[in-house]
Amino acid sequence: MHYVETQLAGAIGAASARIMVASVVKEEALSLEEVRNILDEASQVVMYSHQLEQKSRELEAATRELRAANERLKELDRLKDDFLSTVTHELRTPLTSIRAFTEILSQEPEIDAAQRGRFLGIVTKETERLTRLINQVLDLAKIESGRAEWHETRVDMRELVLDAVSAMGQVFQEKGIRLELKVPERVAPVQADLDRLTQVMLNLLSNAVKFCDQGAGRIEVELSERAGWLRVDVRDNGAGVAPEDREIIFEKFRQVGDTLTEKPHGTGLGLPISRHIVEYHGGRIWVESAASPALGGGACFSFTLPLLRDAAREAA
Amino acid sequence: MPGRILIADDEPNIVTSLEFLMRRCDYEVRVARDGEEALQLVEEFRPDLVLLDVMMPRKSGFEVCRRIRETPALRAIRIVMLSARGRDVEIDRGLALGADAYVTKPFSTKELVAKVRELLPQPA
Repeated sequence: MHYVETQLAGAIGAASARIMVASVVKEEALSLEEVRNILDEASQVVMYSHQLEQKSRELEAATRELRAANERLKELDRLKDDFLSTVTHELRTPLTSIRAFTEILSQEPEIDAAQRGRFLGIVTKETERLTRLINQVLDLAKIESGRAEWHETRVDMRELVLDAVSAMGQVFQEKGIRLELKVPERVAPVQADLDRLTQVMLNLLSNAVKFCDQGAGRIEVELSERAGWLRVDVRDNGAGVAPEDREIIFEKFRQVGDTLTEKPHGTGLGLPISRHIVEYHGGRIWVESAASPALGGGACFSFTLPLLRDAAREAA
Repeated sequence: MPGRILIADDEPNIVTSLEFLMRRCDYEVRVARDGEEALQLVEEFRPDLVLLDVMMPRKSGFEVCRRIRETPALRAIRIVMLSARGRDVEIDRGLALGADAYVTKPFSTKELVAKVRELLPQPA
């Protein structure tokens, strides 16, 4: 850049000096040689000027790119901040109860047995909550960095779905949820990590429970097989998911709603982890939700898994 | 009675611990589970001090604090903000809105009780 400028300044200086000299001494005719030199220098000026314009355009483009990259970095930084703030809050909340009750129990010798038992129960529950969160954060970090170990076997999704549903039995019962199962007698196997897929299934079921109203909840679990794919749908009649949030809820670092007045439901890491797991198996996970509560509201989380090749052929 | 305290927090276990700590000091205690309820109870119960969580449903603790400080009749109420988000900018925001203290969760129960006692001078 600097070089071109220097060249240009030099060339302009020399050319204009020649022209000035020529015009001042009007009576003396310029020799052909001199005219050629002036023209040469002038064309050099034009060339340098073109080069300069080109450089300037390149520089502008580079600046635009840098600016965009900077915006992206800022956005990532903000998302990281949000995530840290959420995780920090979720870590500090159970710790607050644990510390408070531990101090109360150690400073109050006269607490009766029943209350002591209740307080110790809270400490245990909050410790479990903390453990769950830490496990999820580590789990996501492991999956994202490609350090997760996968143990793939032939998995019968029918069995997996039914086992997950029965593991949630007590939770369904406590919240008075009506469960509908649409599971065929037999489905072709998939090649998958049984524990990881169970994790996805439990996550979708507990999400559905979370958003159902006490005593009025309805959850429908459907397993179907079509054209080389297995599909699982978990439908609830809860609040549903707004159109603008349907992609965001699968992204980590993201929370839906006002961060000051609405606490994240759980860690907010269940769905991002589920997406990683489903995509690792070559499937897809998404949510559909009724446009208006008048249509019944609710959300339907679905995921697909490719059937084993030979199994798909057998079925065909 | 040494004073009336309103606990505004939506974490049931934290509320249980705060209730226990305040009742043990013979304060009269009421509990609000969200920001709206907190404002309503501030009017009805007329507490001397509010233990105010920042992240609450329906109205944040910051908003509740602002409303209390805007109302001349409520100006004497002492406000202790409690938050699991302890970034300096939030502490500054809470204090700028007129909170008397900002306590970061998890807190030392001894220090919290001492802070409350300090803000509510015992009648001679």
